[in-house]
Amino acid sequence: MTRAALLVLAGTILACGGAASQWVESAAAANAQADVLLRDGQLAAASKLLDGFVSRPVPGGVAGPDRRAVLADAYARLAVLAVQAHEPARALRYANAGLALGEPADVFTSALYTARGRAQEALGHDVEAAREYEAAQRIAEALLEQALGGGDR
Amino acid sequence: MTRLFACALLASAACSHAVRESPDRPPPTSSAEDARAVAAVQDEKAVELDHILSSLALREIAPDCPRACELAGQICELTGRICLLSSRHEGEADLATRCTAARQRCQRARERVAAVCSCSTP
Repeated sequence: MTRAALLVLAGTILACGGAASQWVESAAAANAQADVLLRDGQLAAASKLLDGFVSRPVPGGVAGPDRRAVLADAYARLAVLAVQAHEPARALRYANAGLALGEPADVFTSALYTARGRAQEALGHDVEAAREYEAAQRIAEALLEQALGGGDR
Repeated sequence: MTRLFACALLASAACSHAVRESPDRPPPTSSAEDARAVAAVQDEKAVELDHILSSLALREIAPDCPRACELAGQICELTGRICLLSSRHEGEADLATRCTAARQRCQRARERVAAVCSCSTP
């Protein structure tokens, strides 16, 4: 679902052109390349690639919410990859970095809370993990209401 | 908000109708003609408002079922994770409470979605 939300966002930004669209293109390219690397089982290389993307400066023309959505998605992915690589402390740092960009009730925030829960669980912090999963669940619940037409779209 | 929007739209539809009719229609010549003209205008307006209300109602209630199904699945998957953690710590009241609340959220999500959508894996 985060992919779908990101595709909609990318389409909107790409239509505007300029440095912002180049940045979104580089995000899409990094994600696509990471997909290929992961299919080959190259987890570390995929993580390094996405880490390189989030470390690069964001062009000034990118609107705040767009910047946040693209980076939050990348951080959530990096956090999951770090959990898979049995590096929960690093996963926690990535998830925290993503959440530090803002916590609107959307798919990206939900994904980051879930990733942070997985990191906490891997660290043996079960109570904290449950809290993170609960936070993700509450956001998913709000998004469900929107999807069913009960909230502002 | 949707209601306000609907009212504004209806008001605007009514206004545009009034503006549209005045230059095209000659003034009625008798009271019978006058009554017929008023009735015709009212009928036309009623049909127009019906269309607007129908389209607004459709937009308001049309659910995004694929998304809703996916979200309900996520909610219940998270319940599984929370309750698994709780099961590892028997006697831990905080985790047990979270598991119960999570189960309720899963149940609520399933019921909400089942009422309007048919998911392949609810």
